[in-house]
Amino acid sequence: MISKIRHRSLHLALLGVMIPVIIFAFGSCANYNSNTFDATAYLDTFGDPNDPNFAASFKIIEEKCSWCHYHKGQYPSLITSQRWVESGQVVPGSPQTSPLFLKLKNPSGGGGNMPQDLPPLSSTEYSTIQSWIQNIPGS
Amino acid sequence: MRKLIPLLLIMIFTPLKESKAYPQFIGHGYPSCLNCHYNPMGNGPLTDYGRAVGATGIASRMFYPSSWSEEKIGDSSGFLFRKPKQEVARTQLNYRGLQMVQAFGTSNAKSSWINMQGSGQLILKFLNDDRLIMVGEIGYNPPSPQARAANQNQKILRSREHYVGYRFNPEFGVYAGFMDKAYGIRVAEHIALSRVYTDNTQNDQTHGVMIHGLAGGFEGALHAFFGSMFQSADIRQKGVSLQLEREVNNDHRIGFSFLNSKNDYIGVTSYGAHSRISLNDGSALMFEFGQNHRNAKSGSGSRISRYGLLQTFSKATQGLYLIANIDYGKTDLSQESSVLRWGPGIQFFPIQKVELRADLYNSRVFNENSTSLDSWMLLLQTHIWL
Ligand code: HEC
Repeated sequence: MISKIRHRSLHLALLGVMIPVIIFAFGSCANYNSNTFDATAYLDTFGDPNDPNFAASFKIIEEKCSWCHYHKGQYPSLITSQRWVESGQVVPGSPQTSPLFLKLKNPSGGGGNMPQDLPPLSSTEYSTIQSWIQNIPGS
Repeated sequence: MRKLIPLLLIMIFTPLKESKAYPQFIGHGYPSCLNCHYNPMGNGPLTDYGRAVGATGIASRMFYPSSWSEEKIGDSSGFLFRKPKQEVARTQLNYRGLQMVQAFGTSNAKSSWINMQGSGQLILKFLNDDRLIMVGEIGYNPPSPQARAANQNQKILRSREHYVGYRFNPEFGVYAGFMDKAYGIRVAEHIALSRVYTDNTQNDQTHGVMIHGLAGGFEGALHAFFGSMFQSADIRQKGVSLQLEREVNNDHRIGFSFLNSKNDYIGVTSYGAHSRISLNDGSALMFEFGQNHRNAKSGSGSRISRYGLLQTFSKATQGLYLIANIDYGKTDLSQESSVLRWGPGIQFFPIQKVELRADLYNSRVFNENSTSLDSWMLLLQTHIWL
């Protein structure tokens, strides 16, 4: 019986296998918790001052999208335009090729399917996001 | 701050219960969680001993033939009522459902059923006295408050805890993995303000390393944690917490907790004191009070909150408890408003592996010159474990 074996080396070997399994297991699990929206709750200004369109877009995304898209590396943590670009969701200067924008329901009909199962963004919200992507500095 | 209020309100007025650690069992002469739970701070799967205690010492006997011995009942406390045939692996299933009636007793009463917990637990244990354990619990993920508010279901699984534990001896053990933080009284009401203000709700497990020990009338845990690795690095709360209890005597423990952690946006410090007192056979009184400081690194949102909790469990007869619960909180000490939630409840364990609970909650929000109308909520909970 395993319970009878007392060798120290066996303890260590077991721990050596179990600890990594334990720490890295379940990587695909849900991860919503009390910290999820810390960025929105505690930052007043997002992004940099040369990127004035970002803050308004971030607020819209936070309100309309983030509560479904909060998984690892997802929306609540994309607090600068740079991070959106790095995430691959946004192509600077080009809403028409940005996955984020393409996924949006067009308020005047058509477009993508986001926010899922909910009414489309208002046309003001839609154009705010459009002009943010259009005007990301450096584009 | 303003952005947090809706979130807090939802959490405050949705008193769900999920965890299984019942600190009030100090009233039964079990002051420490360690005997009955694999996790020495409570919650999570029960040990064989804990299951037997639940079957024989906690649950009612009314549905058993009087000829059944204590031993026979205890032997049926294993998974699917069977006595395990091997020593290495244990499995458990848990389900909790909640019928919630808001605005109870008014014409606007609104009733809904919530599947709060459905989880599977696997325990692998090695060496004598389960000295080396590996515990994992995968469960249904209740939707975030926003999703719930929008009536959206996000049916995703999540890890409730998974860790390795090694006890050098009965007095000292080390645990590494994904666990609840060691802080305060781990009451079943995970939306008690003592849990909400200090970020110790049902979804706040963290990766880290915890040491747990008992010595000279003290029991305590020191937890160094680095946040949930399932989240992006900027929001992970990294820090330490400590929970220390002193045994005044067999029937009375006093405790102290401290937590300090930070992420890229805020630093959090919480501290509190608590007490657990066994009143007489099976009955208990517990209270906890403390403060939480949030310091926003840039921007606004810094605040100090205060909380208080008082619970009594009176054993009426075996398996049946009458509960009184008072929960108080002031989210921001610089503001006038505070919340008081209180009410009676009944907890009934008709047979082993079944818990039924009914709680009535009265919530009031007090402002400078106004008090919100009374609002009553009825919660009927069914909890089954196999
Ligand atoms: C009710 C939940 C929900 C809401 C709200 C929501 N999404 Fe989604 N989103 C999903 C799901 C589920 C998928 C995967 C299925 C799909 O691609 O259609 C998805 C996929 C996406 C994708 C493609 C996959 C990816 O992550 O790259 C984008 C882009 C996206 N959503 C953007 C948005 C934006 C922008 C909003 C806010 C306007 C939003 N979503 C709101 C649930 C939601």
